[in-house]
Amino acid sequence: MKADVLIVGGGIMGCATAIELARKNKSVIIFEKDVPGRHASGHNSGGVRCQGRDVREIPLAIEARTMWDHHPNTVNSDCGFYVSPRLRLAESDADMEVLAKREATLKSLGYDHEVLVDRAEVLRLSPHVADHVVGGLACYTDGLANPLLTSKAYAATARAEGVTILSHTRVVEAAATAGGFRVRTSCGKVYEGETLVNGTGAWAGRFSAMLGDPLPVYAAAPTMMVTDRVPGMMSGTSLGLTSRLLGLMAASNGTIIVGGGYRSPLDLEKEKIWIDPMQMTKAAQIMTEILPGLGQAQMIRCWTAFEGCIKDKVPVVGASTKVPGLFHVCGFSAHGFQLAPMMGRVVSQLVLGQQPELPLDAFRPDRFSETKAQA
Amino acid sequence: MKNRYDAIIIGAGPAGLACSTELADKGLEVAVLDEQAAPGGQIYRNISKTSARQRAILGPDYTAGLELIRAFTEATVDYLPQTRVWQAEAAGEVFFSHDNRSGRFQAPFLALNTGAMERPVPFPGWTLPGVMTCGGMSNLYKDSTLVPREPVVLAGSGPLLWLVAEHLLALEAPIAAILDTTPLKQMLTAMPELPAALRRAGYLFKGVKMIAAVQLAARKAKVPMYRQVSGLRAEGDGRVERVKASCRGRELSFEASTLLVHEGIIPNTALLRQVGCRHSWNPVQRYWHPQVDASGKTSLGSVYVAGDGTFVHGAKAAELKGRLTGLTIARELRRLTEPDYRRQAAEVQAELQEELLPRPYIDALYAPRKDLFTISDETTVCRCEGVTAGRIRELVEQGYTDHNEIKSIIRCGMGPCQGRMCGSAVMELVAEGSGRSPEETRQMRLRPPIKPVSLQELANATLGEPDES
Ligand SMILES: Cc1cc2nc3c(=O)[nH]c(=O)nc-3n(C[C@H](O)[C@H](O)[C@H](O)COP(=O)(O)OP(=O)(O)OC[C@H]3O[C@@H](n4cnc5c(N)ncnc54)[C@H](O)[C@@H]3O)c2cc1C
Repeated sequence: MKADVLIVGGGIMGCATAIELARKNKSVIIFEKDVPGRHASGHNSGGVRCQGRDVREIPLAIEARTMWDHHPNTVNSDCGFYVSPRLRLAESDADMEVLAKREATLKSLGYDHEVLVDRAEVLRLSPHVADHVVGGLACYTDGLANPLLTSKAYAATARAEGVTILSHTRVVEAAATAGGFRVRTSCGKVYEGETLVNGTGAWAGRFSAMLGDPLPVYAAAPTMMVTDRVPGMMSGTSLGLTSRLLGLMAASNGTIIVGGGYRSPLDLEKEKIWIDPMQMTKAAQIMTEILPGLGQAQMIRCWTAFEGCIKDKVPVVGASTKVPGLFHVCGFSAHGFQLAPMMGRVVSQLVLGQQPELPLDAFRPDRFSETKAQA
Repeated sequence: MKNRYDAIIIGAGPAGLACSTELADKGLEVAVLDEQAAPGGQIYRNISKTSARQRAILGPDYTAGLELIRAFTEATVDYLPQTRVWQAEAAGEVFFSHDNRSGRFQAPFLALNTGAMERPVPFPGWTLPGVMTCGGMSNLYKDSTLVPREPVVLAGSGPLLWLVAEHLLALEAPIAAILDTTPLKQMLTAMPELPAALRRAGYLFKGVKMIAAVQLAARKAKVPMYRQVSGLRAEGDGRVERVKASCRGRELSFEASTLLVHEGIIPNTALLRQVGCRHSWNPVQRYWHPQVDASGKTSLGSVYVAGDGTFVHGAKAAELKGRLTGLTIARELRRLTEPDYRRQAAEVQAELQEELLPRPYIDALYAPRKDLFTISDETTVCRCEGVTAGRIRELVEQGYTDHNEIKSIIRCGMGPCQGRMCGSAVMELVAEGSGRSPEETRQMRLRPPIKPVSLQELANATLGEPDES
């Protein structure tokens, strides 16, 4: 079987790219070894956040944020999105300085989505924070969405646009040929296409190596926790800290989704992740310091998923410099969900041979060549 | 506190008690962690503390546990009551909350003897205060001699229904009605299993005699009894006031403030699924149970399961399974020579086989009836998140057959119980709507903590490196 574009990985990156390409009349096949949304895209924490992003990502994130408002039209679902302002708390004057510096840097680059706020505004946004909090940096437009609903809406839209999604179909071999690419699947079938998109998430390091363009993407298992319902505690505002690891997201049902850079040990081969409960104890200690009213709240579940990470924490988005016709969109390092709609747009522009609407130089696949590849 | 052992036993029911006593007898260092305040599990709950009167009411099936408890009390084990285990790992780690703090124990072998639970079955009104299970009622009596003084209806199918009826009659609780939902047809389906069961006729007759005696007592007390009852529902303003049902075309209605339900017993697999051992589907009893060998060893090797957690076989079998697991772990730890092991295990195994003879008959007779999960659209299925059967059916219609996905989209099973209450029903709704057998669908995944842990307990945690003492 043949198609213009072969996409490996049925996560949100693969599906977003497929939708845009199909809308430009390209024939597309997506290969997904499990089902769309089984991995990071369906099991992330749903944070649709511009706040705290690496400055290289901000233009894409701001554009993506408007696209989140248009999902009912573009993917026929609101994706469960709602606004929950994100407030990064300063626990000391030193923290406050860090935040002021961040605001100044953003301003100098022409961004105003993160605003320095004093304790009075902090209390207005989040009345139950502890006495030692002196101020914060607020991003009023951030929000949360339902990741599985979003992933499924993207996959359904791709199908509706004529994209073939082959679930339970792993690409076991992929190679460049004279006319493009040939891939072989775990079902024993062979497919051909002119271009190939690598949207394999945590598996991107291996998959790129298979094609002779190894990327330093490694698998990690970001780990989240969730509390029982604590109505009123968050007042709809999501919280982060400045000099300690903790993120508290205010889910609309009154629970708190807890994160903050926790990672669990994993075995990618066996697809097994061991949840390390130490992280719950650490998070619980900080949580009760920030929101003293939380002592009796219950932690009801942890969850985790495989994600592709890169040392410098920004993704690889762009044409392979080694294999013509190969495009990478991977290495989102635990914050790709928000960017996904925009990734679909720019990657499809690359595949179509157009100039991407925003510069992608910072995400070049060969940006590591000076440093040592560490795959 | 000591935190490294030869084996950690979760659960102090018949299986856990027998297993840990066996290990302690062989000189091994054992920790026993259990949620309850006293050893005994569900069946022998609170047995070390109950009064003579309670024991007289609960009868010899209950007091049979005294010997087991005596042996356990004499054995040298570290017993932690009121301990909630919320995570176990195949590498031999167990995480728990005890005395307002979390802790971690480690051992090369784990025996997760977490027993069974009553099969949760949603029906209209099942979330009303005043609706509880027969087992729950029995626990109340064992713990605190609590007996309902307002009218009670008992409804369901299975020996426990009659056992609890027996106790309530003896305690002169006002029973408004007993509604047996076992379909006539099932008696016929079960017939082929009867000859094997009769090889242990004593056991069967005991059951039959008990039920006959309860029925006689009920008639004497003028308690109405109905058979082949269906369409059970509870009604009331804020709590149960009436129980309705139909019986062969006739509508029934009873004033009552308590409804006790019972629709059979299923293995409690939450911890087993979290630890990640493999499970099989039983199409007769319609439940998942862990794959274990004769000694209770799971697919994880270092993790064992004994008792009703492997398959519901009752208290005596649980005790025997526990002993077998204990013997096997002792052999693995080289405290039992191969010949000694063989000899001792053979004795237990022979007794166990005898005990299991009537089970296929009982399983078929009390299999979940065909219409058990014919749930009306408005009925709440997921109590934690308030998700109705109709909403779940909508998702199944859209093509969702994976409870994990249904959960992520409509939160059904996302609450503190992690699907323990709605799991069976969701599986049946998926089967109903997709024509797929539960075997073909992906099992619900459980993530730690399998039981809620307060932030305070976590913040007070002592999970540090195990001491070597
Ligand atoms: C716990 C967690 C929390 C997160 N929280 C946030 C957040 O709050 N905000 C945010 O913006 N981002 C967040 N992220 C990051 C975000 O989820 C990811 O960056 C994003 O989903 C990546 O999408 P993807 O399509 O590249 O990856 P995936 O969804 O993992 O998709 C890759 C797919 O490729 C398939 N695949 C791999 N190899 C093959 C092969 N050989 N053949 C066929 N198929 C293959 C896999 O099965 C997989 O489905 C979080 C991630 C995690 C894990």
